[in-house]
Amino acid sequence: MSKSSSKKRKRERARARCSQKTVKGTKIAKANYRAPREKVILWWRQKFPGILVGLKFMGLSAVIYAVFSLIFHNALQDCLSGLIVMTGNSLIHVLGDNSLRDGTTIFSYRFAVNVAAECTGAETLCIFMAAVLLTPVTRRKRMVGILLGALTLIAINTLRVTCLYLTGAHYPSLFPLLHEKIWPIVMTPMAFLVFLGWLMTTLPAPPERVPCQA
Amino acid sequence: MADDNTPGSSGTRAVPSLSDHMTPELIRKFALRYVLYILLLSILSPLLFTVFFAQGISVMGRLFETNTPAITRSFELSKESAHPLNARITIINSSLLNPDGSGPERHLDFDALGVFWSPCAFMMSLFLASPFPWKRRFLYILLGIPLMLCASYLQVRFLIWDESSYIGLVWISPEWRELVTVLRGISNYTVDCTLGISIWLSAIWGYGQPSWNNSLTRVRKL
Repeated sequence: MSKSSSKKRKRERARARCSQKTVKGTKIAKANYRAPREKVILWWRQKFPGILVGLKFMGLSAVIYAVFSLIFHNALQDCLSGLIVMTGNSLIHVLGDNSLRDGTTIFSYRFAVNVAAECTGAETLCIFMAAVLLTPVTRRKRMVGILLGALTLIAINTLRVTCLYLTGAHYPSLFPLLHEKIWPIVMTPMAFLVFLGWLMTTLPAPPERVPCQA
Repeated sequence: MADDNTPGSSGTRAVPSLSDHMTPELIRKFALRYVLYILLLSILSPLLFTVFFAQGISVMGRLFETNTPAITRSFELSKESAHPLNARITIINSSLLNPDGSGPERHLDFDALGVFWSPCAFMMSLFLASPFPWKRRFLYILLGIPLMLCASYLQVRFLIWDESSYIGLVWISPEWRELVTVLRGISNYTVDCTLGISIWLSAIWGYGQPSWNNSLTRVRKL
């Protein structure tokens, strides 16, 4: 007799024993048999439904952030900074100001802004990605959501850089306030709002409520 | 809380959580209220900080202070809340001090408003905008703020430990140094950005569940 068949028999015996146990006078069906690990997960889900979701979100976003900072740090920074500087500089030109760009810097004879690693908005992207990945929708919707959301957040960050450059060039005294206080408060909630916007377009229409027949 | 008009429901059945009946209308309202509250709290931040938080943070700062033969740590909070880096922790390796008082010293400057208040304000605006009864909103905020402050405290503790390594109080090998730098970034990111959302998610997902209601009733009775 092979080991696998004896294991199989043991498992069947355990199931049979379990099916004969009674809880409040009712027999537990064979189909209801759950492994101890499953039982723990089920108990945890029933007892603490929200905490699990919160922990999942925190863990997933930390993992995405760690992957970004460890593996894609330089490549991502170069790519994002380049994109933000290029579009930001074009926007400044459209708004009628003359500026030049060099690497990760937008400058003129009046003022210069450098889009450093912390200014690329990678944190907001990580929050958004984690939230989208945890939403129970199809994989296709998730991919589309991540792509469109990332583009929206990059666009918002470009607006931030443009606004900071214009403030520094025309109202230098307001620059520290905007850079240190106002924009950091705006950016994290913005990721959350973009996520809510995506959720609104993704959610199916609510079912019509039918009053219960007495 | 039981919605007896929905088909198949009864008085004893578990009420579906908020996540089960999210509608675009509900999300739109929530988003608008959220923007309103975050703006309000951001505008009021300097005032709230000076009136309520500055005292609390001064008390909390004492927890960072120590004076032993090996280490001297002191905490200072500037009254000027508008200053970007208004809190300073000075770490001195007392065992390596010269007779004239000079020696290895490290300053950890940070924005107390940003480290302690902003994550709390973010979480508060999420709860204030949520479609719970007002009592629940305040209960969640009261439960959430200590958690947020605890996380901020641990974050600053971690920064102190990291900074101590530069003046010979802690030894971190070059290989571990890289990992510590990444962990520093992750801890800043988690406390500043994701912890508030996680606490809010925990509450909103559990809302309406019998086990959640029971535990909240127990907390209220304390």
